[in-house]
Amino acid sequence: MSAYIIRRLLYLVPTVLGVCLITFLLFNVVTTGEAIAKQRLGQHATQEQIESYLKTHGYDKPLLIRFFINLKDLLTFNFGRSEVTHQKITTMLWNGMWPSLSLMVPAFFFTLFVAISIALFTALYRNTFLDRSTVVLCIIGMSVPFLAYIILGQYILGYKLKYFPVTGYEWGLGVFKFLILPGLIYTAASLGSDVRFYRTVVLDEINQDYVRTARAKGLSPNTILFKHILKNAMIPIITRVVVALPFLYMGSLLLEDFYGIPGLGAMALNAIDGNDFAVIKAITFIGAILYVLANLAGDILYALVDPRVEFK
Amino acid sequence: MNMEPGLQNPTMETSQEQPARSLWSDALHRLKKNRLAVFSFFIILIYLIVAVLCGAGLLATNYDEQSYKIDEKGNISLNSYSPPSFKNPLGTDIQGRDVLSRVLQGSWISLRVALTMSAIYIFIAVLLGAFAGYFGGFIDDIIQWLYQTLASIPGLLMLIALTFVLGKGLTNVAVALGLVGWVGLCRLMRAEYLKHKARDYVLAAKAQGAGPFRIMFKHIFPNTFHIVIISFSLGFVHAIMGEVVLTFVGLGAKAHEPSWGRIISEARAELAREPAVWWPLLSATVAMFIVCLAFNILGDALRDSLDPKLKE
Amino acid sequence: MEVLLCVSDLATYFETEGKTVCAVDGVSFEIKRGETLGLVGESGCGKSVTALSIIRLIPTPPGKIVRGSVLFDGEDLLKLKESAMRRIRGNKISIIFQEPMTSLNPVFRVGHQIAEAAVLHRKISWNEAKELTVEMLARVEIPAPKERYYDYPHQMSGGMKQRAIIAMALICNPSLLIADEPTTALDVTIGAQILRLLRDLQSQLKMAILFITHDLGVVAEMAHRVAVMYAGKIVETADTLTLFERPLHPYTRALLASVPHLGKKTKRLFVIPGEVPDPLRFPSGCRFHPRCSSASDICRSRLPELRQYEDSHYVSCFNISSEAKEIPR
Repeated sequence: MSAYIIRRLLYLVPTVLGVCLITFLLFNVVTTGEAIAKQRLGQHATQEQIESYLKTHGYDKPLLIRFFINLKDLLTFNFGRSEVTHQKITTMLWNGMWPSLSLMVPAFFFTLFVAISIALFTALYRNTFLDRSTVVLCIIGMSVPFLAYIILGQYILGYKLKYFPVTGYEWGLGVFKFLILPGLIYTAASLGSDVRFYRTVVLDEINQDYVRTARAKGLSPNTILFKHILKNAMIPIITRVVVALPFLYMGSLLLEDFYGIPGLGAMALNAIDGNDFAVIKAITFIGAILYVLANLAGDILYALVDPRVEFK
Repeated sequence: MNMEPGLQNPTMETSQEQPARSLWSDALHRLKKNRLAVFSFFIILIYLIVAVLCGAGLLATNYDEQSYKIDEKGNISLNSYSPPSFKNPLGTDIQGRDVLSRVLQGSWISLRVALTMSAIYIFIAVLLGAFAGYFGGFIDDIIQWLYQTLASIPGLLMLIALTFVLGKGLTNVAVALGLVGWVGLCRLMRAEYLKHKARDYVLAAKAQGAGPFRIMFKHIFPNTFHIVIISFSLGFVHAIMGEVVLTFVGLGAKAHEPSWGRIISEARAELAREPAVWWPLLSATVAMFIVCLAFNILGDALRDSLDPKLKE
Repeated sequence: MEVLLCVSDLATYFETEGKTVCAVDGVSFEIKRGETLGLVGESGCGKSVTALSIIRLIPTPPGKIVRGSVLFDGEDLLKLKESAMRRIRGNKISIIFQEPMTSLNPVFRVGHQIAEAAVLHRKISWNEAKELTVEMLARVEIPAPKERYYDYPHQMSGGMKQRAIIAMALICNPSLLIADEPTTALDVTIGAQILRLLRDLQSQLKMAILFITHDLGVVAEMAHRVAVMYAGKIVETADTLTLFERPLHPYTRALLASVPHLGKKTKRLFVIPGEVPDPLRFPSGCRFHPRCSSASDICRSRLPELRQYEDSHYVSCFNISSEAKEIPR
């Protein structure tokens, strides 16, 4: 088992290097130091101002050297300071993480639970009117833009009906009342594609030969669905969940913005508004690293659920 | 459930010699029977016609014209936020511009974004997928490393970072969507090329002395074209939704451009007015919803009829 | 001997895209206690659908049992509630399928899957069920059964899996085993071992077997009696010996003639002309008439009934009385 994990960790090396390379290329080749400097300092900046900016941000060194400095900085999580607020970026990331997680973790797992339940339920009633209307509802739900969910949800449930506070955040347990509405909106917006995915997964399993064997054994539909099918379906479910996990850390950009939650999503939006290149770079890199680690976790979980994966 | 082999319709099995023709005519036959898909197809046709007419300056040309009103005292002011009426079926916006015309013009913008994105991502995906699948070996390793790396940067973040460094604006949004969106299709193409390169017709072409490029793009490509079509259809939804989110974040359409994302983003403040200005939001959302729904349904139907085994 | 299973006028149709496929269309037969009935026919003739109809595992929709009765121990299975039917499946009637490779659940241990049936039907603890399972694994001649209990399906070979599936089917001592082409997917030598095992187990456990196959050689080896199926109907039934010595129905004869014989000099192997009819559009009259060399007008217009020819020899053919004595080989 530990040998397996080590082997998987070694696989990460080229991917992490690749992520470093892509972020480097983005900020050094796709856009250049001069362009960034002009964005930061405004169109009327003097040549001296630009040159001093380039110097303090290391853009005066050759490309290759810059790459290695960049690599070292990223791998040691040394992101520097925000160009707008001049705070340390690691501190900003740390502070922004908790509001994001407090919003996304409950919302995500609630959605997961609801989506899988609906998927199993429709699988039991497959090919009936109930099943078909669920599929149609899913496609309809997928076709509504996320922004429309947010705007209408906030307007109707928060502003008009006053069931929930319109925006706000506080530290501590009292935050709950602020998180219900964005959480529910997240669920509503994700349910369509989630239910459709899990329904496909369950239906794929239902048509397998082993299900027929289980029925021939005399097992009840519930035992077959919740024991035999669900354990097989766990494999694709885990994959999907794991891939989504890094987004929990990032929070939902739009939700945080609308509901005034001071998380990483809101931070990213501020950075875009303020042309804060350092922050965007840090968030992109952290997001990618989390994604890579989540994939590793997924592979390990996968190996635990599926006996066919061998720890060689 | 295993059915008797004899119960299957023998015509369903397409012969290997002429896969393209029987596949397409068969799929068309099945598509025609799906009334919802046919209906969606006509919706999309209308959307395309409207978009092209708008783009050619033949329809909704008054989208940027301010209108004025005269009150009882004879003062002339902007006809802001006039609710839907006979003259402006979907009302007017803050500057007295006709919302209907703006929403119609939005279809042209969305089409431009979608086509630019599709051209880029399909080109990259087909080229790299073909190379990876056909040549294998080192080339395959490099391409796989490239898309695995790209896939490990969360999509939205990558989009934001890329648009951010390319510079704000609709064209760059479309380019970024294209540069980020090719991984899924590339994977599928790679698998197809891997499968096809050992087929008899490829060997026959080789025996006749056809070079690798001719085989890849003249012989194999037509047999994988259905995958491109499916991806293209579902890609529209991505492009439309992507434009909305990136515009909202402040990276996409500029204030005067009548994109759906722009209209929806502005609606946030408009809803909070007293009385609420709901018509721009609702018009753009409904327009988007109809187009996305039609593409989702058609894409699904295409997938079901062209390649039942292909799933997300 | 007492009749265990009596199927009469069983018909199962599949509805697809507004069309009806008459997969099984009025099938009747009996199986006595401890007896093996071989059900033979080409693929697509409705053998497997018959088997699935008996234990009511037809996927519904699109399939539907439209008429007939299945009397098992005097009780009509088609009238039972689903919950009562579940108490029979895997308990009194078991079924084994063609595809041992995919018939076991890949994420559970083989032993657990076998014991599950015992826990369910015999109301015993998991520990007792485990002992029983190990005993059963030994009975189906799996070496080192105690260790094999903990195997996952992918760790077993195809033949081994089929043995495990047989163990699962027999763990509750069923009085009827339905074997749906149990050896088709296996190597010939492995298949032969499985057949021998089934015969041994039958004499030990005294169960009846409905043995479904397209292979006449296997039928000759396994069955006491044979029913020949064609296009959703049974065209002939007889004792195995009688059927092989004096086949009556032109289809049976053609089927026998198309089997190669070792040591016999055959100029060319006989091939039945034409194809198995499309179950969407069965021909009028006798369903075999388009491929039958002695078809007459009546064959084209009327459907022959299954009629008694001798003691236990039934055949559905209009031409039998005149032609029966001469049997070309």
